[in-house]
Amino acid sequence: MKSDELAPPHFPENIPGTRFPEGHVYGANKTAEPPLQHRPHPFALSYGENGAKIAYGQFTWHVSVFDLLFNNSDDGLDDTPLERAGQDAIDGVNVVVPRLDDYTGDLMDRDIPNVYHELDGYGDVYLVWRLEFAEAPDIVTQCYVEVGTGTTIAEAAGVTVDATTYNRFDGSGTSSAEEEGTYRIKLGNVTEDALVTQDISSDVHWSFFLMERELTA
Amino acid sequence: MPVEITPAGPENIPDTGFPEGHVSAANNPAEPPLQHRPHAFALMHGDGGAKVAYGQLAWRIDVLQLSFATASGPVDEAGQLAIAAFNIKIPTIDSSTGEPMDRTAPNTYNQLDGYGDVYLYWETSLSEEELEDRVDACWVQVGGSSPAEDELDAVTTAAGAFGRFYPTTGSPSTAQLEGTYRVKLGTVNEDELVKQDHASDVYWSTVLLERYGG
Repeated sequence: MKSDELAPPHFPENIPGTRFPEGHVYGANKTAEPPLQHRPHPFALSYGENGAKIAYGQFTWHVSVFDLLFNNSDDGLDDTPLERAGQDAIDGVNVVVPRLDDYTGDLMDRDIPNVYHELDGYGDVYLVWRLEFAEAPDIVTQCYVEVGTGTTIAEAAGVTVDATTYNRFDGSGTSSAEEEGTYRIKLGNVTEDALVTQDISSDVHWSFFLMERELTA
Repeated sequence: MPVEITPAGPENIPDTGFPEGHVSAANNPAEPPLQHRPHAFALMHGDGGAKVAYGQLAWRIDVLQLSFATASGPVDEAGQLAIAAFNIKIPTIDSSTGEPMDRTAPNTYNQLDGYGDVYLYWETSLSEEELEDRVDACWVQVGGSSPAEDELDAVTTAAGAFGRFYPTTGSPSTAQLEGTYRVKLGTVNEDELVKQDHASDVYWSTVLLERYGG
């Protein structure tokens, strides 16, 4: 059933003062703005006192996993053919709430009327997340919003084409560079005396797939 | 070169109810017209339950195809179905058979049946003939105890023919064809602040394996 029409999307923070003492009413009073009905879009940026401010947003991820089985039994051939293939259960959408400034920071607050979260400084604002496959099923172990590029980014490394046993979740046949990764996406830029640049204005979704190999004799 | 954004709809400043130039403490301030919807799935308190603004599910599926020479392998061919764009599913209200959400702007909030945790659910039926029916239900409901999330089952590592799309190959089980997924949108309880978890349209993009031959 549909309900009443939306109230206008008033700007979120800081209901302005009326400039009149409480109880003082006459025709020149400035009407206080009604309260916020909803949040701004995810990761909305604005100016703070000593740095950028950012509204709540969250990170969602999805992974698909293929399982390949190779066999090098003595069949008179020199190769190790791919004999079987399968797939893990189909994942849904996983959610991670970002922290502020670094991976030990406070969690962003999802309450409404919300607060903007003040970050440590001005500049480019990034959402950063870290993967650690050994922590499955919660493989996104860190997620935070930071100003600047202080975090070193490193994709989870690729896998050499081969027929050997390989599994990032249990570490079979992997190197450390293949067992973890750190990524980021630019949300926007907040700089003093410049207009805010808003790049991302939705929750961030990341979807990828993995290969597992097993070699049997 | 940057351009200024103009309002999305006609600008209809509502009548204040007073003639021009008439000013007194009883004047109603003219409310500015709504320029846009709130973010997707915006939650608020309603009359007897949560209210939710329009949002939608965008989904897509990639398919990797492997062809096996015999029942014990090996793979002798590999391919992939066309790379699909997004399919859009407009959620219904309260259940899979409810009214669809209204996407017109300025939109209305949609009243839900009760307070509590609010979820977006979707169900798959991968053997449906028409692509758009393979996510065959999508709805917003209060409460997450029923139905429970139920992922599409895994596929055993094997060489036998297997495919979940119509016409199905091999004999996929019901649990490999029909799944139930959900994302928590937030929480609306009486006398409490709204908690808004998800504030975007929801995306679900996955990959399926098909085996042939064997």
